[in-house]
Amino acid sequence: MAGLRQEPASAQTARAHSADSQARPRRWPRSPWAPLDVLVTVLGLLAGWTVLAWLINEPPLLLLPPPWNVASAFVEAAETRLAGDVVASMTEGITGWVVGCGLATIVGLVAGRFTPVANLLMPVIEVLRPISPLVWVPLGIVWFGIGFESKLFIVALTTFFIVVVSAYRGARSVSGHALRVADMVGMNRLRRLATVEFMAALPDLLVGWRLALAAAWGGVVISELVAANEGLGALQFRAIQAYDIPTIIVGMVCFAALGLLSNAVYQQLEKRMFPWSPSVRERRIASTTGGGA
Amino acid sequence: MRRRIWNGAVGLTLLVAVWWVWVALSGVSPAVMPSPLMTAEQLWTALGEPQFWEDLQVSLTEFALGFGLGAVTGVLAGAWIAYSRLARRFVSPAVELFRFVIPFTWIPLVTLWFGLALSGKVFIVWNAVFFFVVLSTVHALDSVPALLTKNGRMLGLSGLRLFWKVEAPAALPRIAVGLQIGVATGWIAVIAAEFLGASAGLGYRIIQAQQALNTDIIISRMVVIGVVGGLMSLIARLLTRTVVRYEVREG
Repeated sequence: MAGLRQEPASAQTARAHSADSQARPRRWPRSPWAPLDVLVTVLGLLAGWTVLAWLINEPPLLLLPPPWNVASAFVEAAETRLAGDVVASMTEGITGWVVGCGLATIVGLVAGRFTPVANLLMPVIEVLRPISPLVWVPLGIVWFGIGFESKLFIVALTTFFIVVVSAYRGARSVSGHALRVADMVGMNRLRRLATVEFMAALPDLLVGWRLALAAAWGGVVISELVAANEGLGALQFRAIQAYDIPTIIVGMVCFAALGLLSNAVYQQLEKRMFPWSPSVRERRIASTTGGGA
Repeated sequence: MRRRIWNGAVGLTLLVAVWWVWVALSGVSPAVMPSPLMTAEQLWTALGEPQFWEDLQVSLTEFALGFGLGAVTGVLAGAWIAYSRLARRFVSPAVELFRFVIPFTWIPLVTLWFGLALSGKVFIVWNAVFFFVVLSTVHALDSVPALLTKNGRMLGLSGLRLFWKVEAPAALPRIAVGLQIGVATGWIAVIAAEFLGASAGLGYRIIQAQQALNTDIIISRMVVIGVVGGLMSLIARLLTRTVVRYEVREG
């Protein structure tokens, strides 16, 4: 792996220093959270929530329902539409992410290797990037309606603008050495792009894909809240109209769980498939030295 | 810098050219995609109307309040976690937990809590900014090089004086990066929050235009949002560069 990328000198010195900086005395040794501490924190949050709910509520208006109301709303939703909404949101998020990542990876790699393409494309992308994809939601609805397509559009757009930059940067970090070897063994340019450049860009891509996955859920939330028939955002929107705060909180928790779960699955896959990638190695170091840098 | 401006000009020209050619050739209805000229004209008339400036003012006020609160509370909470063992044990897991709650999923709750009021949008922006700032502050204070603190102690500094003279300046560059990210996310959060439960603001205007199929208004306001966001990021970067005139090296 080491031969595929040309490393900036700063990365090498940073690595030389990191061993030294890990030995630095801390104010106190930082350990990963003790399970007991996390448990106490969660219980504390629940207790605080209950007390707050008890203080705020004036009976007819349930501004902040206590935890058990939310739990019963969860059960109620689970018996009716919750599963369908979760599946709808998940499908939108994952499909959009796959489409956006795929397109962005191809475009970024090609632009990274073929300067004319980069000269044409990258300035356009740089002009569009400051307009957050979430601002495109109303336009997406005008173009694609309120169904699945407009969500796909928004999520793909969100992920595209994140990943294209990583792919571009990654493709440009290929070492000339590796390229010459690939040419020598007779790879054509397309084949070389799919193997040498792709593998060299992978460390950047793995980070970009993960960031894009987190951002994708934001796209799902907003586009579903603005207009949708199904999905967790639609669940929340129906709950606004019914003044049903427990169900709104159920939606929040489900979205958070989707984000957490997808991130965990991604990191597991990353570890299994690319154990050599720097992002995996960093996490391993962090877990063995306690907190890490 | 010159290269970036040049690239921007090229990108803009290309984009507008492709857009224009596509609209002209496909004969698409302006309700779906107006021509660049139509959009520019819309923007030009809007600039002369008080409503546009009112929208801009509302969105900027919400942003400024939310970001200001988020930055101050975020830095304070970050410093607390960095220096208090108790906070490290019990507050930082809570922060990590809440970080996974997507800020936008608060919008429905906030619309019911605050109605159309300004405070609802401020809450959303605060929420979007706060967690970034907390985490970057903790990280910044944790990675102050030990050599610097040791030297500070050797020179007789301790406690608050050590913090203000050594640790805070050493952590500042990284905190500033967190704040810069906060500016970008906060601005988007304003717009997203205005999509629901607002009666003015740029995001509200876009949604109104969407329901009336005034696509020229949608696109022209998107341009405004992009330009304002870009300007704010630029200001944040320039401010950082004038305040932080040094580099902190490890080891």
